[in-house]
Amino acid sequence: MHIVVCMKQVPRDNSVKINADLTINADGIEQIMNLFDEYAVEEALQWNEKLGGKVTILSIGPEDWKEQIRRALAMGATDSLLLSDPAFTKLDTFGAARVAAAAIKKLGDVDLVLCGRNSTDDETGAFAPALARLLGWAQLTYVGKVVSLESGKIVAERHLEEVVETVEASLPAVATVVKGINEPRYPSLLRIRKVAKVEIPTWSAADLGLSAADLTPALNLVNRVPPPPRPKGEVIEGKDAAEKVARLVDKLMEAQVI
Amino acid sequence: MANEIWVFIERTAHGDMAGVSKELLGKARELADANGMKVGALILGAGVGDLANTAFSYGADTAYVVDDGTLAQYTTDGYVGAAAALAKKYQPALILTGASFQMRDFSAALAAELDTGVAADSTNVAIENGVVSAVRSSHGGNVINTLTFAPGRTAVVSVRKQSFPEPQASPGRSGAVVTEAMPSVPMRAKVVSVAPKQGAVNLSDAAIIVSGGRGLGSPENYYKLIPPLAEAVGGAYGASRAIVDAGWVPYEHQVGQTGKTVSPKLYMAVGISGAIQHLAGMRSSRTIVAINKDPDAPIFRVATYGVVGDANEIVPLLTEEIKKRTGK
Amino acid sequence: MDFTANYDMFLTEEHQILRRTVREFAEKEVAPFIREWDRSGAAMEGPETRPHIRPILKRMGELGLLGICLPARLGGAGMDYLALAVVCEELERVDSFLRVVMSVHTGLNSLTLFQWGTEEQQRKYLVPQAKGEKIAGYCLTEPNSGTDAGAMLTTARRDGDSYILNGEKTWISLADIADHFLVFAKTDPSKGNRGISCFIVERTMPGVSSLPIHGKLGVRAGNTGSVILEEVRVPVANRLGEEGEGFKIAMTALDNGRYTVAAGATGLIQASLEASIRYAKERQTFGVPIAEHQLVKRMISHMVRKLDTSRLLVYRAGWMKNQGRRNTRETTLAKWHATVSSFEAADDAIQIHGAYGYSDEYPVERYLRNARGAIIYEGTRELQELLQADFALGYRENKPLRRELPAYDPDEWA
Repeated sequence: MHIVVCMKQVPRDNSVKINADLTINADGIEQIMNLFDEYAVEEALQWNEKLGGKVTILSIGPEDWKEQIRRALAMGATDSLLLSDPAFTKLDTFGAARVAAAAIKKLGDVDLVLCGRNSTDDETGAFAPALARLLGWAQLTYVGKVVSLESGKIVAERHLEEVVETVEASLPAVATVVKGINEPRYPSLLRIRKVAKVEIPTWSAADLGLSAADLTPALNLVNRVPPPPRPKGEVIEGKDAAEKVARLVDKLMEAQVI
Repeated sequence: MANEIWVFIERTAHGDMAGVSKELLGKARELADANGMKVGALILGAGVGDLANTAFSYGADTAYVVDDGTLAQYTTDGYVGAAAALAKKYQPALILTGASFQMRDFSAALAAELDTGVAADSTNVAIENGVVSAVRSSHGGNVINTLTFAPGRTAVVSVRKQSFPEPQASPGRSGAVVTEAMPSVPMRAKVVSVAPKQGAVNLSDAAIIVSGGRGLGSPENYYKLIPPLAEAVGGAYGASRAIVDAGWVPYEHQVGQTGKTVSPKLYMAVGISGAIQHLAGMRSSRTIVAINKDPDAPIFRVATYGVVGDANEIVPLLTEEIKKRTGK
Repeated sequence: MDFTANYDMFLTEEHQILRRTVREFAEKEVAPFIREWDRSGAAMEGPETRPHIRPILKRMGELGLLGICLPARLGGAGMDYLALAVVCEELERVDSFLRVVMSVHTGLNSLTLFQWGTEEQQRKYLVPQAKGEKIAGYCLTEPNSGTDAGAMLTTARRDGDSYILNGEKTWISLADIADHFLVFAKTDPSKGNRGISCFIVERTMPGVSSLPIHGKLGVRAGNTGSVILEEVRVPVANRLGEEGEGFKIAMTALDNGRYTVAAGATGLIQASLEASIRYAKERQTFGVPIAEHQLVKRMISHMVRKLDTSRLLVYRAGWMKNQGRRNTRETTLAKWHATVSSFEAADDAIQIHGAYGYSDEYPVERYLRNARGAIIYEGTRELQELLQADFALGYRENKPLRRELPAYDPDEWA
């Protein structure tokens, strides 16, 4: 079984600034592996331990973005692939999906692609569905449990708002996982040493046979601003807790929210 | 490109039209009227019954229907296949969907199938001089993006619930029904079973949410205070990441950047200091009540009403007072 | 901002991954509970009852932290001495009791076995310690002997193939927890420092007992106690080094222990700084965040200075260890500067937090209490000061040792 995990590097927190050209400025914020992707890595590793085969970490980013890939390798992934090209800097979600799809087609022998349910920076959750359509593979989003995985078939629980939907799909497939599907392991310190010298294969747009048109964003970003400040609130005063509570309930009833 | 705005009609578990679809029909009607366009209702399913008429009553001019056994349950392949075939044939300028998990799955795949883009989980949508734009937040609510779609391509926008008011229904309002056959598409996945979620908490749908945090001191205090208050106000109960990670409360209840993003009409934060990740998940709530003993807690900066004090003292009083005043 | 960035002259990507791993462990498995754990150690009597300690040690062992800078062939993680500093920084950034484990188990005990132990001793004691299967402590201090080690009263009397140990050791970290101890005792009570020898003692040896110390100012989440030795029979094979070599062994152990203390103190400065920055931006007075006030800014900037200087001194000492160079002067300078700075930083952090900083609502008062001990243990501030002067004046120099701490060898250790 060859499982590819699409992994994104994101700012540790979202206290980002907006540059004049509307790009995001995350200077000074530590870069980490997208939280949901950690669960995808762990899920891939657990199935790899049962079934054998390969787990490839696939990431799109600049040449120096290798730390998170190595982290995933130190967790136990067997292979890695960085897709890096100056032309990739302004990719939108679908552009990224086209780049990843080209790479997965080139890899050739992939059975399953796992992703986090969304990235915590862009939060579109659209990468994996787009990838599945581009590859023409089955799509299983919001997976909270992989029930079984075998040659040609996956059975998984999709954890939706109010129901759990058990889905059976043919492989190859693209699945996204939710937090809580497993407990991600820490990287093994012994493996940190071992993977430090691993050469991470890097493919460019040319290697993938992608043209400028493939990389053009589907949507144009025309404005980007911080959220408007909330109207100033009011501290409820009172001589004791009971009085404060009574006044709060007055306010809530006036505002017709209870 | 047809001069139409389509709304994907979602159904509740009982088969009625979902609230978000009504909200979207209302918005679509408003945009259509302002731009000389028409509103289409995209109705997929098996045995869709009277949904077309309901859609007309909320503002649709035309219902595009595929009624087929293949569509008895949502599958990406079935629904995207049917919707894409309709969209390719009738070329709407814009397709609006809700932003539930199922609709996020659907809208993204549909956009890819139509070789366009999706503005996911948007909070507003506009059409000006034929150009569709959408507003969506990213980066945990710290960035508000306005995106436009290239003219000549169908725009796909999934919209967060309660972004628009629900319009008044006009019973008896009529429209045209266009029925198409289910196209032949590869079905790569099938639904084996659907079960209600154990301890399901639909925070995204709740109109009122009461959340607790580390300031409560212990899991015992959380369960003693938060669910009863939530019950008194008829809401769901949530939690900060800190206490979910500490194992007090299951992840289902987590509000925040890596939990649920919510915007209920009332959000009560009890013993939550207001870490940036938490604020990201609830700052767009309409009314926010914060109860915390630290007057400098950042939660007070987003609160509509703040009460400084010990939750263990205030919450039981509040629960009683609300029960008394609302007669529950 | 990321205060650990731009140390590429010392640290590699491996260290960054390690840092992130240790930080996640400490933030997830310790930080949510540390206030309660610290409180639990505040008012106690009787035997040791902090139930959180053993599970945390087990997790640290599983992660490979306890043998971080030992070769894989000895059960370690095969990383270098700088990795040990990174681990200590990140652990003490959450709480000092975690770093104390690294100080005594890894720094004072395991690295000493690595430097001085025979192959047999390493196989029997060091390997399980590196793997975290056994926990190790270090027994030098006595009720009447701290800095003046030569004044110790514990004795080791030769009897055939064994030594018989008698005495009381105190201020022993993990006294009630550790499985193995390095115990220093006089084989020749007529001599001072030169009469001291070092022994590997197992807790299960008849005559070994321990009891906790209550009422500590700081590191309340950790276990500290006394180890009592009554007619403990220790095989000659368990003598570390030669007879009379104990003092030298103790001092080389401190070169490693002090290094971990210095690195940990750096982490504590960072914790104080981070807490202060967060609070200063949140808290408003006179209509602006207190971060806008110049005297608050000064406290922040001084913390930054102390953080960077401490870290640079620690990394220099670590780099020297990697090269196999003697680093007594550099390590003691780092320990002196970083520990004194950490106390000052925690003090300023409390000042920035105002009255809130004075209660355990916020972590900064714990930082202050935890920082204080390190200005006393493993060489007092005053001792380090004298040492720097003596080195500078030429009154003291490093003499060659029979066994040196092995230099880091990335290929051989992996």
